[in-house]
Amino acid sequence: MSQVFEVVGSVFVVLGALVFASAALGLLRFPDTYTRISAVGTAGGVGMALVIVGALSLQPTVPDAFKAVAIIALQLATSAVGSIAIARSAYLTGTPLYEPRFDELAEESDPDEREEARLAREERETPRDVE
Amino acid sequence: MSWVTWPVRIVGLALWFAKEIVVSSAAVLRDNFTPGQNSTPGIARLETRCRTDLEITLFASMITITPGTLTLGTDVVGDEQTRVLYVHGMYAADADALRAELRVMENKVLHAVRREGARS
Repeated sequence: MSQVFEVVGSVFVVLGALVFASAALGLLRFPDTYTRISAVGTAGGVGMALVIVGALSLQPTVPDAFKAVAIIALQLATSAVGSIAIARSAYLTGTPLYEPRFDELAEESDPDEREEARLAREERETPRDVE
Repeated sequence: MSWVTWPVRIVGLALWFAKEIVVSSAAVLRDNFTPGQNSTPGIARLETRCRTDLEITLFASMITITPGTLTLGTDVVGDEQTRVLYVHGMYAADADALRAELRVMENKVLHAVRREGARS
């Protein structure tokens, strides 16, 4: 029986690591801020959950099971809310989308305000000449 | 009777969500491991039927956790206090397709979270 737990645990840990690896690949390959945030948000939630379940299965005890449930619930919630906060601030500071097919948020938000934020951001990012 | 089925519905939501993550992960991974970009990104506006902060927070979080979709923000509009979500999607052909996808999830979430259940 313990061997079953060991195999299942190892499989989950490896799956979780693979989710992190694919998110890292996504960070490199996805074209803009929003798609990259999406990749990281998923890895932070799903990848962590898989690794925790795997670790629990490798050393299963009842107290640890309760801890694992708490960890997964908190991790999923905070990862999601954190991603939303980053994405929201990215949009508010005027970060452009990569080749958007449709953007119904732009129709609602003030274009001047976004343009202003974009210009301010660009000015911050432009390296100044060192005297 | 709704008290009896409530926990069952919540577990059902968790299982359905796990399946959904696997399915949409596959789409993202396929794009990731093949050359070029197949994504058709965009932002859709979704008028939800969520009535409480808990419902909208859970729904927005689940959208973000699902690979390929990302919540950008929320708003409350109109006299009926309709809660609106702005969602960034990577693989939906247009805004209506993305909305249709999200509607399915919304129905599942509301049906599980509300004790009396919810029918679309």
